[in-house]
Amino acid sequence: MDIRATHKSEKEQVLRIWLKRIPVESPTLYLFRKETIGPDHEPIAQALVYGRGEGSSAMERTMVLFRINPESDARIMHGEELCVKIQSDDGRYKDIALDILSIE
Amino acid sequence: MKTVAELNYLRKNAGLPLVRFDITRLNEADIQDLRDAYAALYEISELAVGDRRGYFALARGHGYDLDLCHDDNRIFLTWHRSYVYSFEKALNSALQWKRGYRNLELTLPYWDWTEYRSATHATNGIPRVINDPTYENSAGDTVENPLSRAKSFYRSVSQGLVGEEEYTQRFPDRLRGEIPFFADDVERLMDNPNYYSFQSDLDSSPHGALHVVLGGRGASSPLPGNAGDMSSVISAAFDPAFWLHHCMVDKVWFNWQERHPSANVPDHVLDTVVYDGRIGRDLIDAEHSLKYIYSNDSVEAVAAESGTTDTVRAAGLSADVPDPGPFELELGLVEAGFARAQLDFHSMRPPKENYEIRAYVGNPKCRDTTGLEDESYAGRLVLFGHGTCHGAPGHCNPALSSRDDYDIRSKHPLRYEHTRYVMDITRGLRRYLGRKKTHPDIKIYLLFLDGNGKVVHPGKVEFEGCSLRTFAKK
Repeated sequence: MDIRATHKSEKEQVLRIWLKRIPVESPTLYLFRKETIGPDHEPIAQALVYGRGEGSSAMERTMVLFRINPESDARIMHGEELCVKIQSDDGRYKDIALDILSIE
Repeated sequence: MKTVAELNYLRKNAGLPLVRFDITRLNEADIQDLRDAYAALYEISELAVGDRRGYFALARGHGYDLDLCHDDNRIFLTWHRSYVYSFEKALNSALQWKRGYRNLELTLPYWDWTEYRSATHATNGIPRVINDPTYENSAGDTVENPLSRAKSFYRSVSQGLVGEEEYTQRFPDRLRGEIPFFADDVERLMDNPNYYSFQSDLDSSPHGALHVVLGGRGASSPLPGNAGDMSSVISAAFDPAFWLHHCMVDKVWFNWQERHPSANVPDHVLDTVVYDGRIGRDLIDAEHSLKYIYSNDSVEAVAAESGTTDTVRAAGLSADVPDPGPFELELGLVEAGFARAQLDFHSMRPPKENYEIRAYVGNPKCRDTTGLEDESYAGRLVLFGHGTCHGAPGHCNPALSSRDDYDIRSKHPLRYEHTRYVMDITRGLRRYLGRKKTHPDIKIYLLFLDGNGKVVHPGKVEFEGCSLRTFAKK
């Protein structure tokens, strides 16, 4: 899913994505720089999502927090296009749709 | 050498806050207490699945069918502080129950997941006392470690699993690699003076991240997505490590509060009722309202600085059990002209069985055949028994669930310390007094009858005293 970096995320080098509802599963999300995305590129950050689990009626909104990897030399800039993906079992990154409330 | 439970009991008597310790700094006896307490919680749920003192009842409050936790992320910290507090008190009650000894105040230790030491941790990053599936007890037997896994109500009932598959699982392949990031997260969090942003960052990582990497995923998991129990809200609290993890989350908040003592706590947090009916504002100052603090020190170091001494506990309830037959009450001088007269029964224990208490004035020979038409009859109190106990042993004994400033969980439903059962004897007493203005020595005889109307020993109904109260006419 494509998103844009915010002023706050540039300043803190932390990108926060608020989801409307805590998801069922607990995936690891990977953040890529859109312009450099490709088979040889590594994500610039990852975030672990604590999901509600199948059968749970939990309704709260939740935040996914990406700390930009300081070793990736990948400072994000306001307005920059980024992409959130998940990793499939075969190791490849694939797109994911998120129900986003806001991005900080 | 004092154990944590003994030390905290002394601190309680000295009016000091109880201390929560780092689990890797506990002594062997403390770890044994912790294991025994967890095992006792499991045992209560095995004996009676609905017993609210047991592990199932507590753990299901987080997710599963009760799902009380994740509906409002703004109260994440207060909700879990209250939740962990209730668990800690249940843990101590379970230990007291198991040991048959009341002078204990076991506190929940925290698992500091910002640290890894090969001496105390397994290679996967989990402290050995939590990780190892078995341990050697004092008799030299190898037994199951209650901190390693627990039977999950979610697995049994929601997922229909049986046998070994009813027990929680962890797949912490990524945990050890995350520990430096958790340490970094906490360091960053401490500099943030804003309550909501501190809370939401902590909620996401390290809190949520630890859940995900401790639970993990593994092919042998029968749960949806091959998840480990800690990975999902619905199942997490059944893992014994959940409480130790959330104790650490609470410690991070506690330390942050010390760093930012004037941080503004939003009204929504203060005004919102959380787990076990506590309101947010009562949970902010843990040291003074909940009476606990955290220590990075050893138990010995805290014991040395506590300087507490043994004190004598208040005497327990001593029910007055007179001889069989009517129970004589000497009321002394009574003046007539009252609008109402009543007998107050103090600290009466709500009985299991149904009973009727009848009052006769000046009639020591009253019996079950005396009836309600007799001239001496003054009034009656019918007690609707709460029934046979459906819980584990001790479930219906409020004496095992005493509350004080150090334990503000809701009171036992059968509490008796402040009960006041009242019997209206206005008409009977007026009739007895007749035209007299006063009577120098009124005696009332109480007859105790069971559900079949048969007179029973007065000691069947326990109370600490009975007094006459009259109300003047306006």
